[in-house]
Amino acid sequence: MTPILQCKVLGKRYGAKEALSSVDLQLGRGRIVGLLGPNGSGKTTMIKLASGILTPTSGEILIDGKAPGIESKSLVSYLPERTYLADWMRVSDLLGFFGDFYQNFNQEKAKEMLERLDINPNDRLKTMSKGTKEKVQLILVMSREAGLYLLDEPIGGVDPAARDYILNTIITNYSENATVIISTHLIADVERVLDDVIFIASGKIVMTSSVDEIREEQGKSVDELFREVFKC
Amino acid sequence: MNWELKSDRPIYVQLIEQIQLRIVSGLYPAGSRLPAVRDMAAEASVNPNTMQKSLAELERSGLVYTQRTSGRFVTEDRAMIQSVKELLARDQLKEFFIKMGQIGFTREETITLVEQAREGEDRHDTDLAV
Amino acid sequence: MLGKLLKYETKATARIFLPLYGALVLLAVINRFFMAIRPEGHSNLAFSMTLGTTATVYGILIFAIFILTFFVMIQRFYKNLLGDEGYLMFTLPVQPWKHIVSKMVVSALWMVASVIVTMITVFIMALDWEDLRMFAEIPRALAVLYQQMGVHGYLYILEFCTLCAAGLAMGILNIYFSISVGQLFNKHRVLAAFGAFIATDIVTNIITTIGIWLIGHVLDGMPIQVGMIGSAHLIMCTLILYCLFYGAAYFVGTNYILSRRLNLE
Repeated sequence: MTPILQCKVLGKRYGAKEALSSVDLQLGRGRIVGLLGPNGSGKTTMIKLASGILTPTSGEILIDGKAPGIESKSLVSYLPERTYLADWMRVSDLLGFFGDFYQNFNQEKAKEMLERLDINPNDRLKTMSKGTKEKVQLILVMSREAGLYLLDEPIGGVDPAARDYILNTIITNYSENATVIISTHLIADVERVLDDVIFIASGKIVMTSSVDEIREEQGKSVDELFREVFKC
Repeated sequence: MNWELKSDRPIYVQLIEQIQLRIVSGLYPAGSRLPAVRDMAAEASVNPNTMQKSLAELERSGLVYTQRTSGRFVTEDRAMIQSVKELLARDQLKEFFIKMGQIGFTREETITLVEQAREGEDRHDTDLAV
Repeated sequence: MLGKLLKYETKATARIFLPLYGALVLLAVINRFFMAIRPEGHSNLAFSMTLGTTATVYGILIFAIFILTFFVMIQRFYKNLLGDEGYLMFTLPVQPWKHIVSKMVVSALWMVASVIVTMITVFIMALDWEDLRMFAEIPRALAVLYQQMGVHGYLYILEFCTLCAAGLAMGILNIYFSISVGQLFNKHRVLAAFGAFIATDIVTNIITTIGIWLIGHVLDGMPIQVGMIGSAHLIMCTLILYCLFYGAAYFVGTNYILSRRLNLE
C-alpha cells in the first residue's frame, strides 16, 4: 500500500532562511505520530506543506502517492495552530460549511461532541472564549473521516483538563486506517498516545522511532530522550 | 483503579500488567466482557494501537479471548486467573525482598520483620476493639 | 463546488450590504415623506433642518455604501483568502481559480446592486406616479433606436454592457493580482501590494502603447474603409478586447500565485 505521507528530499526556504532541508520520510497508515522539535524547528512548515497551503522549494511531498491538490485536500484534515474560523459565523453555519465541502464530514458526530461540551450550535464564534473556539475547531477537524489528520500544536496553551479532553477526542475519533500527526513540544503530555515519533531540529529530521523502541532500547521516556537530544 | 504508567518502560508492557491486575482483583471478573479497545484506550489515555497490542499479548497467554462477533472476554478458567494472581504476588515479593536487601535485611530477618509487623497490627486491632 | 463557494461568499457579504441597502431605502422613503408634507411657500426652520439632516445622512450613506463596496471587495480577498481564514479556504478541496471567480463574481454583483439600489432610492424620492410611465416608454424608445440604426443599435447596447462587465472584471482582477503579489513578500505585504498595483499600471501602459503602435503600423498600409457605424463598433470591440486581455492576464497571474506560490503567514 502507498504510504499516506511521503517526503522526498523535501525542502522549503523563506527568502534566505531555510525552514526545511532534504527531508526524507514515509508514514504508514493507522499510526499516531508525534512530530517533535523545539520552537522554530520546522514542524509547522512541514505540516503546512502536507496540507497544501505552502508549496515546496525543492523535492516533493506526496499524500497517498499524490502531490497536494484537490484529492489530497479531501483526504487531509488540518488543524492549524491559529483560529481560522470567521468570527461572524454560528457553529451551525460551520457544520453546514464543512458538510458542504467535505464529503467525509460526519455531521452527527460533530453535533454529539458539541453537545457533550455544552456548546450551543446557535452561538456565534464572536461570543466564545479562545479556548471554546479551539475546541469547536478541533471538533470540526476530528469529525471528518479523513485519511490523514494534521494537528499543529493542538494542546499548546490550554489548561490540563482541556488537554486531556483534546487527547481523548483525538484517540477516540480518528478512524481505524487513518494516520494522525501531532506536532508539539509538550512531549510528556502526548507521549502515551503516540505510536511513533519524529524528532526534528533546524529543518532536519534527527530521528524517527517508535515510542516502545525508545523505551525498550534506551530505558527512558521520549520526553527524557528529547531533553537529552535537544539539550541547550 | 487508575491506569498508572511509568515513563521508563514500554507502555504496552505496563498495560499488560495493569489489565492483569484488574482481572485478578475482580474488576474485570472471570468470563466478563471487556470494554472496547477504543474505550479502554481512552480510559487509560493511551494510543488504541498500544492497547490493542497489550490485549493481543494477553490473548496469546490465554487470559483473555476473542469471540468473533461479540468482542473480547476474560477467560472463564479460574485456575488460570489464580495462577496469574500468584505470579503477580510472587513478583511483588521478589521485588520486596530485593528492596529489603538493599536496605540491609536478609530474607529471614525480613520475614521476622513482617511477622512482627503483623502482630503489631493485630495488637493494634485489639487495642481498637477495647 | 463553485456554486457552494458563491453561496457562502454571498452569505458572508450580504450581512454587510443588505442592512445598508435597507437603511438607504428607509431614508429615501423618509425624505420623500418630508418633501411631500413640506409646507408650501413660507419656510419653517425646524422643518428645513430635519429635512436637511435626513437628506445629508442619505448622501453620506450612499457615499459609505460605495466606499464599502470597494473596501469589502479588497477585504474579502485579503482576509478570507490570504489571512487566517485562508487556512480553511485553501484546505478545502477546491481549485484556487474557483476561489478567485467566486470572490470576483460576488464583488461585481454587489457593485451592480449598489448602483441599482441607489437608483431605486433616487426614484423613490424624485418620481411621481406620472413619471413611472417613463418605464413604459422603454420599448418604444428601443423601437425608435431600431428604426434609426437597425440592428446596430441593439449591438451597441450589447457591446456597452459587455464592456461594463469586462471593465469591472478587469478592475477587480487587477486588485486581486496586486494583493496576491503582495503576499509573496514576507514583510510589508500591504505596501508591496500597493507597489504591485502601481507597477502593473506602468507595465500595462507600456504594453498598451506598444500594442497600439504596432497595430497602427500594421493597419497603416491596408486599404480599409470603415464608416461611422463601423468605427464605433471597432472602438467598442477594441475596448472590450483590451479589458478581456488584461483581465485574463491578471486572472492567470493571480491563479498561478494562489496555486503555486501560496505563502500564508
